[in-house]
Amino acid sequence: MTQEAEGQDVTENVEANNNKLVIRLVVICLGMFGFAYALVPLYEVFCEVTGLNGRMDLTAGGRVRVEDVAELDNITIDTSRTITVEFVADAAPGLNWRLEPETTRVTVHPGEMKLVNFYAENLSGKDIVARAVPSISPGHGAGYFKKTQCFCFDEMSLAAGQKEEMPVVFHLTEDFPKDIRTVTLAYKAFDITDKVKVIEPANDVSDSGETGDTVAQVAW
Amino acid sequence: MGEHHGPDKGIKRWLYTTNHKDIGTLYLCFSLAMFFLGGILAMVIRAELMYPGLQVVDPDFFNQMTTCHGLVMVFGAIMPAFVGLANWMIPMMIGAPDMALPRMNNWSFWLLPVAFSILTSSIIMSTLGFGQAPNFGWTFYAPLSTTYAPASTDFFIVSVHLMGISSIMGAINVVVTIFNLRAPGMTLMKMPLFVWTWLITAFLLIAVMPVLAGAVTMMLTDRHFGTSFFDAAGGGDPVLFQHIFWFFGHPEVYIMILPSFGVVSAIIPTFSRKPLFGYASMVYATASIALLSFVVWAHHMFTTGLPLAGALFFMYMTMLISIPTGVKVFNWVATMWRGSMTFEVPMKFALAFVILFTIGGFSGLMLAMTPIDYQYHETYFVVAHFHYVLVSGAAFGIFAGVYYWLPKWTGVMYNEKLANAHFWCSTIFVNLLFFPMHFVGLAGMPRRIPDYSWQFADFNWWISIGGFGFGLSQLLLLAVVIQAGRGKGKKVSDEVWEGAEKWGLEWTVPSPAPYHTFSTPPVIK
Ligand SMILES: [Cu+2]
Repeated sequence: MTQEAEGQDVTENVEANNNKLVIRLVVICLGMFGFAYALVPLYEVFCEVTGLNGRMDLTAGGRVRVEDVAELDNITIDTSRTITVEFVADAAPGLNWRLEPETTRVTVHPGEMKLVNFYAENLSGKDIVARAVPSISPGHGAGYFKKTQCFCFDEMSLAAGQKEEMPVVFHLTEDFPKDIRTVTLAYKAFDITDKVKVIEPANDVSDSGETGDTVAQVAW
Repeated sequence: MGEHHGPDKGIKRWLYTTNHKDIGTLYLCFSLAMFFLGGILAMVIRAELMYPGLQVVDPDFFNQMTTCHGLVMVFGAIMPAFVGLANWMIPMMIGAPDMALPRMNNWSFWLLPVAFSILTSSIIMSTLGFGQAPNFGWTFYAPLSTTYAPASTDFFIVSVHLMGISSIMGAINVVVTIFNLRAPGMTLMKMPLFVWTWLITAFLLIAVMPVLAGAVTMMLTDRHFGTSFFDAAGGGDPVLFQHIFWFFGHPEVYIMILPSFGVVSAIIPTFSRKPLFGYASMVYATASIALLSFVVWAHHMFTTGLPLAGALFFMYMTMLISIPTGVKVFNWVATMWRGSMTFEVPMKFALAFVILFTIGGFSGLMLAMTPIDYQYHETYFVVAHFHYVLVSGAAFGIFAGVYYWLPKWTGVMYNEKLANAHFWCSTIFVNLLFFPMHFVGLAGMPRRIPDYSWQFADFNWWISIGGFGFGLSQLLLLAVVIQAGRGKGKKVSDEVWEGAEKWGLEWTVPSPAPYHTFSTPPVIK
């Protein structure tokens, strides 16, 4: 009798212990699932800090604002070094555009501003919005490659058959890594028409004869 | 009271069972079936590669074969086999009446046939000419598995989710059983090494299977719900996929080897008639291997352009793993040193494991060196490496364990003639199959390609012969298991192996092991 009751006690104890442990383990599981998602922003930060994958910082320091250009005048040009900068640009599969630089290579001194034109042409029969993603190779040069003006800062919208000239203004900082003699700036353009939300202006609001105009707005 | 009832009759016994031995048997049978399915896919690969040029299948179908072979073997054959061994042996080794969570145990098994029916259905559809099975490699790198993937990828994603849930539940069950159900006196440092290795494996599973689930969920939302985790067009990065995948993937390869370490650590003392040398160092070595496995993942990604400091870090961390692994190999050899050894089939497989796994370990050390990896990457050298550790490593460990415990499970000795034939054929053919791959890999033959240059023709012919031979040899295993399962063979004593009683509690219960063991906890000396 007492033994049986004791046995029951032990069983209940074990069950309570089991449940406690199971809950802890499940929490670890959920945490690790969250960790997989946390790797996404961690990776972004890591890449921007290290220039891994030749990723360029398009938000803060990497993108030089027009207001800061005055300051750029103070930059000294290091004529003792000459760096070859190569350009590559093409459209990703599924985007029927021609995208190419006017020249495939220029030479610059660190600190020197340079302008290079790129050409984009919409070869397809419809209006397309595309986005060009830049990348620098070798990757550890990415943090020292500054762009003042670039078509990659915004999405590009070309009507069917439209052709466009797009300037890129850049300079290499004075502390550009000494081991890099040649650096490549590559652009890949992707079709983002589907990812851009198209807002139709309401008909009754507009009397200006602009009906049918659309405002493109990035949805992501 | 129904406390000592036997099993139900017929199909219901297997559908509703919560008995750890039944569930162990289910896992092992399922794993054997998947081993043959994965093997058939491998035979298609080797048939195509026997001669240069394209003869048997088209390149796209070839890609589906390499992909599904990997997935089926990793998630269907090796992992469930370990869970099967854990179910059978852990309660008996720690003096517990059953697993701690028997109903969840039933559920975690029955998810597996569902998961693999889904995956297999896409292979069958593809074979019948409707669409494609997953064709992006078992590592399913984006964008191959997102932007360019066949429709069946969604089947694959659901299937991976289900097998992930199954593995996690299995792992939780193992941890809870080991922590809460040990017999009084069975302290952690008295547990057999198989229990230790499985405890550590279970923690690895709990830590990384959710990361895999995260990766496939991101793939799913990239494919259908407009996210861009791995799509550069939307600001994502395909290389991020590789980081997430290998954060799961490297611990995963230890999930597939640690339990085999445990099996071998049980077998070598029995047949050397000496206690395991350096028990405590074995435990610490296993734990350090598991911890290090979280900081080496980018050694799979040296050619993606890591920063120099990163490449060096991952290279040194990877090389560091060879130290605890070396400790283990040293301990196994030291256990045999001056032991009075006999060479029964489980011991033969355990010895083959030690030697062949070490070969795989050395080629792994070569691959760990960043500059050299640039030559080896994506060649047959890599294929040779991971098959040495997974086939002659993990799978041989499973074979060894099955032969070691089969007499306890069935009460009869396996057919020794067939078992010896299985050992010798497997060992000879596995080397014929995988050893030449080192050479063709060093000479530059790329993996995952259905065709190759003429200079690789002779080697590949021999490799294919080795492949067919190894595949056919496994029919011997099937015959042995069926014979023993039907109770045909010499009856064995309770301790089965001479003197085994002192090496583990499982040898103190009757043979065959009764449906319920240790309903009252044993006395631990
Ligand atoms: Cu690895």
